[in-house]
Amino acid sequence: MTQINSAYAGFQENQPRADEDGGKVKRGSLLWARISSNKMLIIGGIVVIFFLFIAFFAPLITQYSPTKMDFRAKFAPPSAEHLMGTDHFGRDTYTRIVYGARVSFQVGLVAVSIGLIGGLIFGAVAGYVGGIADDILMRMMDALLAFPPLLLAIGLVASMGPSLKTVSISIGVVYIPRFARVMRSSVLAEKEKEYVEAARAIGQSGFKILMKHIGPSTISPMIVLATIIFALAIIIEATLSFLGVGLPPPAPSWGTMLDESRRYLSVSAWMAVFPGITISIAVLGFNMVGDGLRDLLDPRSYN
Amino acid sequence: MLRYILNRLIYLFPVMVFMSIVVFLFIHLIPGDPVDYMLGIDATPEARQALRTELGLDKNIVVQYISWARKIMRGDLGTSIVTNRPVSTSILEKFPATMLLAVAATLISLIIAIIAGTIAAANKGTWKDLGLLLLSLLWVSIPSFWLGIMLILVFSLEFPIFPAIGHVSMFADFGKSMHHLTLPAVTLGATLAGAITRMTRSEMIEQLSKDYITTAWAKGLSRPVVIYKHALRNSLITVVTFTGLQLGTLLGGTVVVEKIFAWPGLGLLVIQSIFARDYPMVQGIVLFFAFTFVFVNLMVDISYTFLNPQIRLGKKG
Repeated sequence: MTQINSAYAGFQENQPRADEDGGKVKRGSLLWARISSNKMLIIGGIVVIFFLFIAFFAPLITQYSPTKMDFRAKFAPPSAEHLMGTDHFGRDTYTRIVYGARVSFQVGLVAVSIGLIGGLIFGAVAGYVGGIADDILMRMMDALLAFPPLLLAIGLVASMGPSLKTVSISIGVVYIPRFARVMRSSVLAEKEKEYVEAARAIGQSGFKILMKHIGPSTISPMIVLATIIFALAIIIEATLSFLGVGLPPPAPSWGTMLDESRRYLSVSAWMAVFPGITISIAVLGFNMVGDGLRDLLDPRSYN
Repeated sequence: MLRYILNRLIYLFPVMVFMSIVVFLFIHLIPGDPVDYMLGIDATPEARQALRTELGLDKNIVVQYISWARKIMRGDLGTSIVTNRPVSTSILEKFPATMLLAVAATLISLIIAIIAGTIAAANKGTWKDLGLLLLSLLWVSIPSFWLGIMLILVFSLEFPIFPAIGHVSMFADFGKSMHHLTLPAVTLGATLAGAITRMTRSEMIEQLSKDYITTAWAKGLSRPVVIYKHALRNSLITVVTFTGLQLGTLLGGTVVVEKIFAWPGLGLLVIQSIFARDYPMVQGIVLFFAFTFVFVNLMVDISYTFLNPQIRLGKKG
């Protein structure tokens, strides 16, 4: 409806439009057939599951500690002993990347949960109640959306102090409006349908209608958005840590690792190469899942 | 048209008030006493009281906000705790460097993306399209801070073609200025290029499926004329609008890129101010960025309405 509103579609987006490939899916085919024909979703899904796996089983897949220093092994190049080399404290890069996946996923999970829950509440109330409540809530959401996302996150973290908790909360707050907007438009679209009117006519309460009737139809667009936001959360966490305002050292954040690598580029380029590849692949995985899910669930419902 | 602009301004007012409240609250989110936090524990009681009075922290929070907002409206963003100079002076000093970086990055990404997006759309479904699509997806997934480091590694350390750090004013030495600008602008523009490529592609595909294109083919017009003169021209409004709306990402990105390349702009200043606990400066810069973003969005919105004959004529008629 307005430009600031549509700005949210903008940030980093990757996903400007429903993809025309979604039309290939045959009606009436089994869900599995649709999933397996969706190459984006399959490849992205494998990447995401792989990262989930290493995040979960970190201590089992590496013998080193992510924070223990070993000055005899400083700046070691990749070898059988240190797969991706070591850093300026002699810490094993591979191990720090594996534990870094934990950090990324923790932040992503908490941030997406906060964004999702906040967005659900604000969006549902704004869409269902309408009127002044809608106006006030959505102007607040517009105001948050009108900040460059990274900058708002920087401001919030800078105030609350850097830690895993504050970083996750800040990123979550930054993305509440995007969930709220999608939620609100889904609720608005559904609200006027006949079955909702019927439910109202037989005297069901507003809350019950929202939960039982309108709720389920909002799930797919919210899932698609959650996947995309997860990728953004990973990037923003890494960016904050890279800038030095995110997770304080010695936490193994991919962003911190890249920041530390800058000083030793001429000594050991390895330190910069592997964490960067890792972030890119992880983010690419989530973006592919987001694209794939959107095609799968409903190419038209998003945006 | 005038009425439309007026409506937009009326809508923007509450949004900007909410935005200023968010920025105002930054200082109140600091756990404990913000004055202790900013000055350190060994500051004298007089210095503390002075800062407390200056920031108005000894008053009711609503009163504090109103007097702060009044100052903002007069263009007074407060005084830096570190340098004791007006925040607005520092911002105006650093803004040109950031502006130069942002404009250069936008131009680079627009050129690359429009070419790539058009090629992809014109060859929809072929390996060219798929390759470009994958490349653009990869491109938006590479974080700019990593790309920047890799560019320094390759083009400054391995093959010393471009300088890794620093900034030269455009007016002092244009050639040198561009030389320093190259790596930061490419880094900043890369993510944007990926997003615009995807946008151009889908917009072009939509245009190419429309009736007037079928007519153009039927008239026997050549492929370049149909694709570039008809479809691309009509896609451009959307693409340029989309690019304008990406400014938020771009402004956020300057913080990262300025840190990597030691580019003396607002982004670098905001990070330095956070480390120096110079909160008036942090608030001022964040607010400045945010309002700039709002302003550019408004401009994009107005020019879009103005450029799009459908909207313009529809309103008149």
